[in-house]
Amino acid sequence: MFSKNEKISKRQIRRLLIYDLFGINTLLLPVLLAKNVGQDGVFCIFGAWVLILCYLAFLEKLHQRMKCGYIDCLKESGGVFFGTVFLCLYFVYCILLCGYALFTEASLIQKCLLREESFWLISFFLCLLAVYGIYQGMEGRARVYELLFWFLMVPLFLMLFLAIFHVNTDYWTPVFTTKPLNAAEGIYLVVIFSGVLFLLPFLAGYAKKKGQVVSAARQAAAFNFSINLVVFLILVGVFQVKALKEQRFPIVTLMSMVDLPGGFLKRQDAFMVAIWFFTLYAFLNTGLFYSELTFQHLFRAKGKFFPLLVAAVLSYGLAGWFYRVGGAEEWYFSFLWYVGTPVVILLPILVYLLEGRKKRK
Amino acid sequence: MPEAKLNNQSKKKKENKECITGNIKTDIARFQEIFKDCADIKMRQMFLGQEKNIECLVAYIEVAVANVLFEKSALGKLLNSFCGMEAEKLYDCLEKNGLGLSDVSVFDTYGEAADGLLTGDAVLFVDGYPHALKISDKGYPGMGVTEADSEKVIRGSNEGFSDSVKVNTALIRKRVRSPRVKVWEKKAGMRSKTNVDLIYMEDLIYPELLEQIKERLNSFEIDGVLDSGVIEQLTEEKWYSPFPQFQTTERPDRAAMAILEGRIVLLCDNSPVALILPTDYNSFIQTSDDYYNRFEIASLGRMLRYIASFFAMTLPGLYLAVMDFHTQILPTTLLLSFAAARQGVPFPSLVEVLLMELSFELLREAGVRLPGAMGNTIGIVGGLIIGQAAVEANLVSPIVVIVVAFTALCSFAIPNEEFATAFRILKFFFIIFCAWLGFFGFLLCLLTVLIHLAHLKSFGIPYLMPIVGADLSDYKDERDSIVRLPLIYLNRRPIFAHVRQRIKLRRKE
Repeated sequence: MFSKNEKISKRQIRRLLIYDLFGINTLLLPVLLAKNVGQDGVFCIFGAWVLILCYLAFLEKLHQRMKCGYIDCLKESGGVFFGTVFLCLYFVYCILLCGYALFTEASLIQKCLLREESFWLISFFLCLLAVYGIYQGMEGRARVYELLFWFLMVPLFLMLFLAIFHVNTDYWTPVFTTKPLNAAEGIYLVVIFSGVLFLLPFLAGYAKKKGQVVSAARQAAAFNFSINLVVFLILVGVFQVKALKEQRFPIVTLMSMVDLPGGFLKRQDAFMVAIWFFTLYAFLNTGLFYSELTFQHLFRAKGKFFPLLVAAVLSYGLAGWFYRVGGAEEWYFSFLWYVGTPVVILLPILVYLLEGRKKRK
Repeated sequence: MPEAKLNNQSKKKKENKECITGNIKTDIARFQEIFKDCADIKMRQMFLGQEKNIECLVAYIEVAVANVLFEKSALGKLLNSFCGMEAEKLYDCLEKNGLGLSDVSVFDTYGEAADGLLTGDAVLFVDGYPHALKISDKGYPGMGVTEADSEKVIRGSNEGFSDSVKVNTALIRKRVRSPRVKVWEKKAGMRSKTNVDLIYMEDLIYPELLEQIKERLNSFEIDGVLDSGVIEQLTEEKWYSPFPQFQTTERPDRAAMAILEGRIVLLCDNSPVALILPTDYNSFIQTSDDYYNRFEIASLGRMLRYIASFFAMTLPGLYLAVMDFHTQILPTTLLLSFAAARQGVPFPSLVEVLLMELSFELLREAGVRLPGAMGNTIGIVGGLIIGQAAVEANLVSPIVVIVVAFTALCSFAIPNEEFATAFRILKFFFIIFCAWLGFFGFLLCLLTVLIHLAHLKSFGIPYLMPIVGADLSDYKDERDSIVRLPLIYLNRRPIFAHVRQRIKLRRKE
């Protein structure tokens, strides 16, 4: 009568994607860019933006060509065997994404809010909350982010604005010092961090109107890349590349340095962690949602409780693995670099080509 | 123009212009059609004249006409006189107002007669007489009814609902005098046989919504329904939620406003509390005088209430998180003064906060149960004397008293008692989690509440409308949410109203 279940509006999709991209990007990307390309990270962000726009243009064409849901197209295009392999690849990609999101968020909470608390307890609560959020359905999930958007963005913009006064523009130079291959790697790194956008084909069925997903994704990408750019410039301008490379969560450190006028609060970092708490939670939720979705189709599970439980347990285990095993993070990034990201980019292209061939026949 | 709108307009014109025929069968049928599904409107057929051969119809709103003292009222006397008259004399009397009643109006059309009835008077149709007579009687229940204790306003009516469902229905009809206001009646309770009325505007509601509530009302059998609260709990979809999914009100003007928004009002006999459905968070934050006052002050009031609803739930928890885990956020001088205030207090801050919060809840409970004047005394004794003594005895620190008092103020600023209760309960979860996990605990609780609210619906309406899901009403409902725009811009009914009946205000050309 009033709300269509499991269908979300363009504004909700846009905000959902902004949340998914924002947290992990602003938290980890500046350090990795500083390590790989130094000040030239700015141009890498630009380059990645162009590539993502091209990908979104392709996605629009894919959506027009798809006559059914993406999962059904995958199964139809690849047949039973390859369809299952494709879904398996997606499941692995999503569950790793989910595990890493859980690990990052729990680490952040432990580092910034609860130094003496157990990592396992923190990640357990986060996982439980993510399951609760997903179990209630897509519509409710989108509403949470829709509601929180300006409550989180306004303080963030304010803090970024105040941080500008700490920026030393001399630290932005010299530029164009990176070799082309390194620059390409930097661009690819930013693309890897936009991984959620490569899962958009799944989201098409949840939009209220056709075409809303790509349009919302364009706006979300524009917002996110702009913020990434500003954050990167501020962080380089405040810490210099040398110091930036050595930090784990420089954006949170930045928040502790900025003084609010009035002097009522001495440090805001504890409060500002809330922004990354919510955005990383959104990222975790997204990973869990796609894991549950692919698992459900892989094993033809009825209902979503069991797939969700499996996905949650696996993510929890993976987060623990990232926490306990040294080098697990490097392994994860290598996986994304060589397997995960190429696969999630190429599979929609494959589906597009196969759908086209089917049409011509 | 949409077809439904055209149909409605032509129907109304037809009602207004269609003349009374004088053929009592036709007149009765037509008038009954106009007031179809109106359980509160009574139509009595009787026979007048010496030979009791002139059929007539008296129509009236149940409590607006003194049916108990029918013989002593003007209407009763008129009918008694007519009973003893010959047919010719009777018609003559009708034409010339031969009985000399001062307040009688003659109507020629059904529309006029319907409007006359809705002013709270009786309408008389007589066979062979092509007009209707409006005869004044007791009229609508007035100010003598009762005052709403729990929903005080600065500007607006002081009338409140009473214990009688009939009076309450009439109080709503007094405010919305339209034959499209329908009243559906049901007996609830196997043994109590309590009257339950559903009141709604026929063309504004979604028929599915009406069916849904009727279905839920018919879905249980219970010994007795002694208050609307029983119905509320039995028909709520998510019974485990601390947030009410029906809005409650003791104010007829609030109920009338809800009817004009396309919502349904449920009245229960022996209960002065009406239930309004569907509802959302925003509706609980609104008060009647938000619409009677200027938009600036209404908006300020609403913003304060939104902030109050947040702090009523979170402030003690936030205090614990900051004091026990994240003292680095406070300036040194403030931190030192907090520490100095806590010096000598033997309990950890969690015990201190819980002690004060529980004492406050106890005071509130005691204040409610005691008779009026004594209740106030308890407030003063508890708040001032016990609070002061507790601080002086070093049982609690002054800052905790301030935090608890501010939290209480915030909960009192929420206009709806049932809604405020949800925040009062959740406050304790925040306290426990914040004491355990600091700001992380606070964020966990906040997100859990948000997820719960985001999924909660009241009869299909998302609970957080229009701040979320505003696309359902083309983002128009946002004009009347945290900020209330000037009335002239609030030209559309909210999401509750039928999609074809959204316009409520337009400028005349």
